[in-house]
This record gives sequence, structure tokens and C-alpha cells, in this order.
Amino acid sequence: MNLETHALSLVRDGKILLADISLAFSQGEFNAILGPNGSGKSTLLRLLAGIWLPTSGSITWKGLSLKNLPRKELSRAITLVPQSAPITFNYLVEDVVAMGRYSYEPHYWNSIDSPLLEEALQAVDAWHLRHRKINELSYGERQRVYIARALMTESPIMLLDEPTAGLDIRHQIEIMALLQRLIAKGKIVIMTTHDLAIAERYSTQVTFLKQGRCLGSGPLETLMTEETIADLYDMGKASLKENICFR
Amino acid sequence: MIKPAASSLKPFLIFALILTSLGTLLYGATPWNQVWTSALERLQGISDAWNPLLDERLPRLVVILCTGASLAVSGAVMQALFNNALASPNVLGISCGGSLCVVIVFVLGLHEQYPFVIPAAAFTGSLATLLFVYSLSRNNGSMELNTLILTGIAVSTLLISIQAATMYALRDHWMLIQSLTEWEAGSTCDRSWRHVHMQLPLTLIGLSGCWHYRGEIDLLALGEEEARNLGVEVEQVRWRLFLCVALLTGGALAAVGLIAFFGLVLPHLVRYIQGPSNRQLITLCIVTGALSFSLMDLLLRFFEVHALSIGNVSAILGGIFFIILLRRSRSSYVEKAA
Repeated sequence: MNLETHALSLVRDGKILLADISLAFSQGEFNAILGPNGSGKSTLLRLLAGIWLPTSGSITWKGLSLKNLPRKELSRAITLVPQSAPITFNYLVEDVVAMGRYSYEPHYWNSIDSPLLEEALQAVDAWHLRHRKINELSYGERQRVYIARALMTESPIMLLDEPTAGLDIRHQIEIMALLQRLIAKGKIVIMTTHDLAIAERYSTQVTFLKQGRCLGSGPLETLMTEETIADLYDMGKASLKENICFR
Repeated sequence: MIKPAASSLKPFLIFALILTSLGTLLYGATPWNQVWTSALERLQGISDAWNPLLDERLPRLVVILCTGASLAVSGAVMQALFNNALASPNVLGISCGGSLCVVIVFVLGLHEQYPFVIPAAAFTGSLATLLFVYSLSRNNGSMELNTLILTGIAVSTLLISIQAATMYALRDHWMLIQSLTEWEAGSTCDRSWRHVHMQLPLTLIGLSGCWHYRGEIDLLALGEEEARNLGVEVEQVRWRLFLCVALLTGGALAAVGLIAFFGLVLPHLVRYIQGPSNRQLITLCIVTGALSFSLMDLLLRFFEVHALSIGNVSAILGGIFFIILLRRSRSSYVEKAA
């Protein structure tokens, strides 16, 4: 039941955004993708979600290629929680969350009064925001709403692009605890993050990306060391020691 | 501000639409008793004389309702599809493309022998321009929102210039120029069943398509990537909606002519009243578009404004609203930057 990438590459405008990425994400693991800005973390998530197509290589889940899967089926299997940005049309929160059911029912609005929607919003502590407009929320509140929308898809694979960015410490911990519960229930969770403390505290598997290439992927304990982090972010070890505490 | 639910608004709007429709049918120079009697005689086969109700007011009403609904819905769909509040068939030059093709049909004299070439040309021109503007605005597989409006303005300016040059070259053919000027001004006068036949099928298909995809339109308004993420077959749905918009724009062009800014303004007014949800917006745009257009036509007839066509009035009112909208969006950008 692994999600696997095989020699995944993406070239746009002659620029290599991702090169030869072969990874395996397993159930029961909390996967974190780390890397400096522009390393290709968000791009990799877009490829995994099928939003962008790779130039070469493939993605398989349960041994089957995702390439020719109908869009709705793919959406029921893999969902991406994007970095939350304001949208052009200022929908109500309950509308945005209900849109997560589109892949099951094109008339997604029938889910607005469903227990599933309440459960999803309660899970991210956003039930009280349901009648608010999405653009009136803070970045962190919007982030929680998008996670609730991803819960509505009931997909076994959840991808999150910097899910804790903009969240206060309480909500960071709550979201991480929620993701841990989802993993315990059998979901594959893959998140990108710039927060080394979050990655070290919660993830069990880490993947390092730099300039579109994979520097390493494996268990947190063996891979996340001062040397690898210094190499990943092009920092001196002294500077790293001064600013970041490792276990 | 608490917005009224669309469900509570619809009965009121439908009632108002029925009233204005009745006004269009009842109001006219010929006394109603006389109109009604001769209409009954026609329907019973006693007489086949020309009747103001059956031969003028009824087709005019159908054309007006179709045009109002078509323009409002096509504007709403384009704003959602292009994720841009300033998009509309007119602003993006789509109407100009359809219009140029109709002008070519007039110049070649095809419209007299084959009247159905007009809607075909209007549809083809609208669709071709839509695809052209869309492809020019895309960069690297994603839509450049700021580029879209500028591309639309550039393309429409080019098309208007070609049209103006064509008309200048033909300035000595005064009968042709007169019919083109009347058509360009967007008029609802002297509409007949021929116009209904040209427009109604296009409108029905276009409106049905947009209404069918109202849920997808909601998701597409989040942006292409988000729509794809949530399960929308973006390319397939977008292509079908492009066809629907071209059918609606082409139908309105064929039957009435150029109506500027109506498609831009109406969706904004409806959003202001009931909120941004497109699934309700499409339905409400059908009703409010038809209502506003028929009301505008009725008022022009009632006050006997002969100097201006409905297209002129729509362009003037819509232009003022467009300026207000631009100022509002500019001030919101300033707020964001600050």
C-alpha cells in the first residue's frame, strides 16, 4: 500500500524543476519533505496530486499507475492541502469545505448540512467559522479550513504544503495531533515544511530535496543529523549549532 | 451585511419578470382590445393579417429575455472561468470577434439569402476570439490573470479597428452602412420570429450547459489547480463552457447586435445582492439578466427614447459601472500592498 515515485522528472521552460526522484511513502509513517526555498517541495506535491504531469517517470499507488486514473477517482485517492491564499470570489467557509465532496457528488452543496462537514470542521477547530467568508479569515484559520476540506474527500493519501505555516503554537500542535490520528487510522500523510522542530518532533520519515534533486530519504533518526541539515541548507555547522537545537 | 438567500429572492424576481414581460406584450401604440381581437382571429384561422402581439411584441419579448439571460450568464461564467472579476464577453473582445464575422456576412450579402449564416458567423467569431485570447493569456500552462484583460483589450481594439476600416472602405454603400450601424448599436426594434429562430436554439443549449456545470464553475473559480485537485476534469469542462459562452454570445449578437458591458455588470450586481456562490449565481443571472434587459427595453419604449438604442444605454450605464469597479479593485490592491 505504498505511494511510489519512479524516476520522476519535471522540466519547464528548459529548467529542471525535479530530476530523477524515486521515493516510497508508506502507510503508518509521518512523511516530511524538507528543503530550502525553490528546492521543488511544492512541485513534488503537485505531481503526486496529479495537478501537474511529470515530463518523465511515473507515480504508482498499490502498484497501479496514477497516470490514466479519472480525475474524480484520483481526487478520492489523493488530496492536496495547498498553502492558503485569498481567492477571487469570497465564498462562505461551509461552501469551501463542502467542495471537498465534489469527487463523490457534483452537487457538492448537498453536503453542507451533513454530519461529515461538521466532523471535518470540528476536527480542525473551525466549526464556529462555517458562516464566515473565506477571505475574511486569518492565514492560519484559512489553513485549517483547507485541511477540513481535505478531510471531506476521505482520501487515503493527504498531501500538505506547509500545513503549520501561519498557525499559532496551539493550532500547530492540534493540527499535528490530527495528522498523527489520521496516520494511525491508516492514511498516508506527506507534508512539506520549513520548520525543522516540527519535522523532528512529529515526522518518522524524511525526504531532503535540494535544487530539484533528492539528497536522501529515510527514517528521521538516521537521516536528520547536523551534517545533513547543514548540507541541505548550505549552512556552516557552527551556525546551525548556534541557532537550532537537535535531540 | 447579511445576504438574502437565493431561494427567498427567486419568487420576487420571477414575479417581477412576469410583470415586465406582460408590460412588453401589452404596451404599444395599437389599443390592446384591437390587438387581442385580431390575435384571436389569427389563432382561429379567421384572418391572416399582421398582428402586433403575435408578429412583433411576442418575438421581441423572446429575443429580449434570451439576450438578457445570455449576456448575464456568459459574463458570470467567464468571470469564474478566468478567475477574474473584470472578465466578460465584451471586455475580452469575444463580442468583437463575433461582430466582425457578422459584418463580413453583411458585406458579402449572405444574410439576405441565408439568414442563418448570421448566428453561425457570430458563434464562430466569438469562439475563435475566445480561444485566441485564452491561448495568448496562458504562459507555461497557467493563466496570467493580469495579462488576460490586457490581451482582451488589445484583441478587441484590433478587431474594432478592422471592422471600422471595413465600414470606412464601404462608406459609399449607404444602405449597407445603415443596416450595419443599426445592428452594431444593438437594437430590439422590429424583431421577428426570424430573429427568435436564429437565437433561441443557441440560447437554450448555452444556458443548459452553463446551468449543468454550475457546480464545476464554482470550483473553477478557485483556480485551475484547485479545481483539478478537487476532481474537476478541467480541460473538458472548460472547453464545453467555452462553447456555451460562444453560443450565448453568438445568439445575442445575431438577434440584437452589440450590447456592451451588460455581461460584466449583471453578475456583479447579483453577487452584491446574494453573495459569490456561482451555483446560485447562474440561476439568478438567467432571471435577473432577462428581467433587467426587458425592464430597460420597456422603459426606453415607455419614455419614447428614439435617439438611443438599448445597446447604447447598456454601454453608457455599464461603462460608468466598469469605471467604479476598476477604482474599487485598484483601491483593494493598494490596501493589499500596504
